[in-house]
Amino acid sequence: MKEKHYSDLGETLYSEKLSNGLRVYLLPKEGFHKTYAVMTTDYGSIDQSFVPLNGTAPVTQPAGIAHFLEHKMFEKADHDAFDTFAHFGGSSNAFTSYTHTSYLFSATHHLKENLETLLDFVQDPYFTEQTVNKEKGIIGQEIQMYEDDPNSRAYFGTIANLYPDQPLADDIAGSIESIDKIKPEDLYLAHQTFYHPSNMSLFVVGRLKPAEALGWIEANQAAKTFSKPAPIKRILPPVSQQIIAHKELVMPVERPKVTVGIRGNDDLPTGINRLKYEDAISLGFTLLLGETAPDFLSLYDQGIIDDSFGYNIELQRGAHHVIMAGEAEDPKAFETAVLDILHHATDKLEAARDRFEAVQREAIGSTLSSFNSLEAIANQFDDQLYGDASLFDEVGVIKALTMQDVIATMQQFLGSAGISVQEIVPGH
Amino acid sequence: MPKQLAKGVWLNVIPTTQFKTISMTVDFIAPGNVQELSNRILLAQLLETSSAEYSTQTKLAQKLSMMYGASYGVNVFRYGLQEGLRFSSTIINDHFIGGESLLSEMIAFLRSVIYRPLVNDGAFESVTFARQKQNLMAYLKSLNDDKQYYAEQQLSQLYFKNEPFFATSLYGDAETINGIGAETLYATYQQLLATNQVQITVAGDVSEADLVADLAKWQLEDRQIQSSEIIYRRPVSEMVAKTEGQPLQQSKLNIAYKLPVYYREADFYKALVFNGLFGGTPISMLFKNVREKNSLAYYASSRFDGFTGTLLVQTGIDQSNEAAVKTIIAQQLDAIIKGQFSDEVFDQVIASLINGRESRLDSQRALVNQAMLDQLLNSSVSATDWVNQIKQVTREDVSAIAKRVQLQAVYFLKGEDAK
Repeated sequence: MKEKHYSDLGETLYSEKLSNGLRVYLLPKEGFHKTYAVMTTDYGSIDQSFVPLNGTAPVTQPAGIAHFLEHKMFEKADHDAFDTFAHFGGSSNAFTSYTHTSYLFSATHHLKENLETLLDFVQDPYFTEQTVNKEKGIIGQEIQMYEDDPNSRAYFGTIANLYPDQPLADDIAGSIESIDKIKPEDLYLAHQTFYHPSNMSLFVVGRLKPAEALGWIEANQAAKTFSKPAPIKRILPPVSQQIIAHKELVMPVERPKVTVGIRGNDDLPTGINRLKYEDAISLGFTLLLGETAPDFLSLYDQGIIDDSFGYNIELQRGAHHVIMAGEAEDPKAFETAVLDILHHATDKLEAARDRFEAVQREAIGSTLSSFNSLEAIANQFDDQLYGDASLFDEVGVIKALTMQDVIATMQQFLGSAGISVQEIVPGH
Repeated sequence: MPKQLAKGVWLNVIPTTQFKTISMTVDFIAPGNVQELSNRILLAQLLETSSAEYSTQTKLAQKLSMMYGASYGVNVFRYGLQEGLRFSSTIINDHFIGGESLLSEMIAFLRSVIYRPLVNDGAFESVTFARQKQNLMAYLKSLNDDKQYYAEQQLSQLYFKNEPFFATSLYGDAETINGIGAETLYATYQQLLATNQVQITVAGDVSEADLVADLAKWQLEDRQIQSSEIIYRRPVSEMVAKTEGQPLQQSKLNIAYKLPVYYREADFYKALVFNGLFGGTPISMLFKNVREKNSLAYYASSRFDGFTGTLLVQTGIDQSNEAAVKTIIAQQLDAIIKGQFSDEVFDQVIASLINGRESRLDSQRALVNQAMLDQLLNSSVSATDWVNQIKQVTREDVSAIAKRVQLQAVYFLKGEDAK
């Protein structure tokens, strides 16, 4: 078992790659009462087309299948995994993103039993015609709930505008029509291909003893047989830089909403430099449009933006973008103002040198604070995106950043970026 | 142990090294009404964004950024009959940032924003006041775009139709807020600072002595507490029902029941277990039967409020299934009354509740809230005692609680063809 101490965080991370390929991370947290565990497969809503494990011909599955599979994993022939967790006091859940599917529990007792339940239910699929069809009603309601949510429509609409010819254009949950096509054999095929231990990781954090927990996990895995690991062949459409620059959606909302999406078309660096890239972009946007920025105040005072304004930097397998959103009485003024700031980003950043230390400190504090939350640590941890680096290295990376790094990275990102605006317009 | 700094002013300290941060809240608490609640909402909006020393958001944000991204917020809470205006801030523990001492700086910052608001001629500065009032009014409008919130609010208005304070959302009443002026609000604020009960709560790697020293500069004079009664015992009323149509894909069926069991009073733990079994957990009978078995909803859950003796059910369903869902909900209540649930699910509910309670010990915010509430109630129940109380609840207890549940209000937000 590898052991790595991070003195600036006061944390020690233990890790081990099991013989079946499963990557295990253990982070003991002194003083905590619960343990949080999340098991993640590198498989999300965009992975619709692939060559099945041990197969040769590519298949394309219905949109929303990764999320459907996530729902269906809990139900077994004679029990529901929710209930098994509950029996041991564990509270369980799962979530699907564009690129990952994660299963989790948190528990203050019976760590061994809850860990075994997690490993077993994720690795033991059970689907029938009847259970699959039943789930269509539940997920149908979930889809309809999000259809009525203007923030969700604005977000997914923007991603679709940025990547119109990519699987990213489909909602993570798919549509009522696409999920209707899902059959048990599709789910088995996806599970067989993407839920191999070599495509998965397990992060356990909180009250635990590393050697003991690893022993339980190893014993559980050693008792199961898996096919030989093989590289996964995902099939993605050729990458074009085509975007939809502007779109309006009429919804019965009280106030108009605007979302500006910025798609990075630049090649990302690898390893710790990718983390540096992400943090530099984050500081760059804070300097341009965060609450310390003079432009923020000016737009706020003019009533062009309000407290609903915010932005998010997203970097994932195969894509990176920044999403800015807010309510706006005058959507055109919002759009013009934001685009103008982006257009003059370099000059504005040059003028922001005196604020650099403040936003750097803020980023350090915010990263440190996130280590209070077991969920935040485990959910944010990604051991593939940044090579050997991870969020444990982030404080050091932020401390080493300079204003010049920020300007250069922002130029790299914005220089070839595609920008799309999604408006939600009140009406029926 | 809480320390009394002045009459009606308390300091609650939770020393712990579990977290990387120190979290502090300053609460001004008094019995609530619609006007006071609306005043507090507008105060929160104003005081979160400006003060005499930090006259704009950028100045305020710059200060917080320099304090390693200290958080600062002002919000409003309600426990039963009492409402509070809460100032909160969280900072990084000194030793993670090279020994700089942020605690005294944070306490001085809070003092500055609380006691030196942005004022001109005995009124909140007019331009900032007007903008923040407008922002708040806009925010209140957009809240209605969240249909789960909207349906819950409509149900509250039905259920508490004779108690406007409880019928009003925690974001205040738009019409009342619209009528508040900058001068009146400033006078109200001065009154609030001088007369409200004050609870200061700090969790983190701190010592009470240091805090007392830092707080010595604050204007924390003695005050007479008006009433610290928290529990509201709503009288039973005629059942009321309302259906409203809107262009939506998904319909919302929300139901309110009276369950006359109150926070930390007799049968409280029995009611918690009942709620966990009925709809308060993902292993509950509502979740199992409305969602898993009959595939009628994505969410179907219940919540119990021991400060008003209210049990609320919320579901998101297809409009054609209203009658079916109502029947299934009623059947679940009936099944609990008749004891028709397995030992296994009963034990699972108990284990889940215990897990939830113990997990709150890992949340700094939850620790702060609990300490404040304990002092407000002048009682406390440790996590261990709480767990023991839950373990003593029997199947029969839960059936007996279910019998006391009375249907009072049904609200149906009916999705009509959006296209």
